[in-house]
Amino acid sequence: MNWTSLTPEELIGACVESGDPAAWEEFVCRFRPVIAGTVMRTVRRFGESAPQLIDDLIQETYLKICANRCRVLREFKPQGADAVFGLMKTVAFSVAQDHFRGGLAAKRGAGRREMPLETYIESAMAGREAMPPAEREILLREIDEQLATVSEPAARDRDRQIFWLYYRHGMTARAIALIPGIGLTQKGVESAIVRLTNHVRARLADIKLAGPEGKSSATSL
Amino acid sequence: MEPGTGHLTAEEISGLIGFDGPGALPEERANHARTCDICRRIIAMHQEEDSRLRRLAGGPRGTPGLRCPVLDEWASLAAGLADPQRRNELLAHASQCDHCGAVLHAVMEDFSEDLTGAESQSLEALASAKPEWQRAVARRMAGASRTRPTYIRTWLPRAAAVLLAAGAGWLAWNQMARNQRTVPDPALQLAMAFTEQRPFDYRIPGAAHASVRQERGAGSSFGRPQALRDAVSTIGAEREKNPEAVKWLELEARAEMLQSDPQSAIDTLNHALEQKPDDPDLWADLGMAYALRAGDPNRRADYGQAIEFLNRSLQKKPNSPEVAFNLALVYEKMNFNDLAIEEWQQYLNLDTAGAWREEAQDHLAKLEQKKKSGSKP
Repeated sequence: MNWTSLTPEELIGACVESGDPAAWEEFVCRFRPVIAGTVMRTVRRFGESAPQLIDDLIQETYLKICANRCRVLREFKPQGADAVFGLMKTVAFSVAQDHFRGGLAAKRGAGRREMPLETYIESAMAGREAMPPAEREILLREIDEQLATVSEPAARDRDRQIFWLYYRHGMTARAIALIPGIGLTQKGVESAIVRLTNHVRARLADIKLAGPEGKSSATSL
Repeated sequence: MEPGTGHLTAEEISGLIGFDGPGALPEERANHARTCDICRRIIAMHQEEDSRLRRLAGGPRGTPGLRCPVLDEWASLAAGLADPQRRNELLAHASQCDHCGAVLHAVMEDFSEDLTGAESQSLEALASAKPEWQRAVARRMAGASRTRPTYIRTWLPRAAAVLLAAGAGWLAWNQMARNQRTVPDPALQLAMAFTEQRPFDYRIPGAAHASVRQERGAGSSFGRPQALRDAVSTIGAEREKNPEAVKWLELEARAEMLQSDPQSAIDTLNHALEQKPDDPDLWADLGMAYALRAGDPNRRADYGQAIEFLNRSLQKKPNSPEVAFNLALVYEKMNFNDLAIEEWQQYLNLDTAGAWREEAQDHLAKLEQKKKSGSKP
């Protein structure tokens, strides 16, 4: 049997049904880049890069996939061309997160409200200049009020989400466009951000010019 | 150009500030921007607001709130596995939540960016890139994929030893069922089976107190209480009819724990949480499943997971005695003695009488004695 010619879905079916080691070997080989890549990136966010650890977590991912007679695979209902690869990423991510969350929680004593995700999250937001929390809260509220008026009702929620993902969470227009369900290309996301930013920036400048009395500005653009 | 003034238009100012950095203006307009006080002032204000906008992403991101989805949901979203309705809910949440927005940021980067040359090189240098490593893992996967529940293969050597226990269990179960004059539901059956067998020291909901008897029936279906076998049968039938029903998934996970299979319970509960991610009862069961898996000396890090999920459950249902009991036990097993003492005290506030309370008092007394004597954990 030539396992390499099978589609990912066919290969998974063959592995689950036949249990043939040769089919599984093709499975391991084919999905390793996506599993290993996800494990390595997740591990690095926790400040680790030891090859041994990465290999261990890759292996653990494979074993989790075939646990309980391949329950993960048997219960999976693919809904798109790359869905199988998405599944592999989520399992690898979960395995790597389990490793670190368990380990860090244990090291820190894990009080009732302590979440050992900080290291992971900090990796995404590191190196960004911050503003005082109180000022930030006020600004977030002011902007949100402006965003409620800027787009057509049909696109308002989506536009608002795009704006916050970009400015509040520092995501790139490309990354936002790649979120399933956003429904815009990178150019479309950029265009939405520029439009919203112009509006918000002008309104914020207006608010500042108007001062505490709330006078409208003659210099508003 | 603004009519009659020559001042920069909104579009020109926008272009000057730029999307990914400052842009340029035609020379004549650039000259105006340099020499006109009004335009300079407005440009400066826009630049200042732009700078404030770009600083919104900095600073600490806080901790997850009660309504924050579990981490795996963000991975499902990024991987395109979330259904449209849930996807919309997640996006709406992420856009307003500092913590979850940061998680989504990280997951999207990791899931959607192609591997760089350096990353590919690193991956190729791993042992897992070698054919022999892959062959060995493939053999293990092939073996595991064919594995059936252990009791099918191991019942013979154990059968004789468990017959007496099975008989006793059956009698006890019949007696309890007769006393109730009704057929109890599987949740109650599981609670009864726990009380009859108590295979571990954690509590499951609704179960009466019993002493731990870990050795009995482990690995063999015949050694298990009749109530457990009946519950497994009912749950199996219900799962056939309705494979995605959270209630049956939860009970299946509990049955798996009672059958010493915490790994399956974790998988089952994670599956249930995909449908009901905010359910504190599922978190409580998942916490217990991780605590049970942490009984394996190689998996002690799972205690951290257990703490996380038990705490999540308690944040939402702070008056659950079973969860407080289990959390106190986990703290104790991790030698977090102060936290364990505090949790046992909280438990005693929730449970004012009975055998479970007495057990908790024993734990607390021992810990306080240990603390008093200054003994190391």
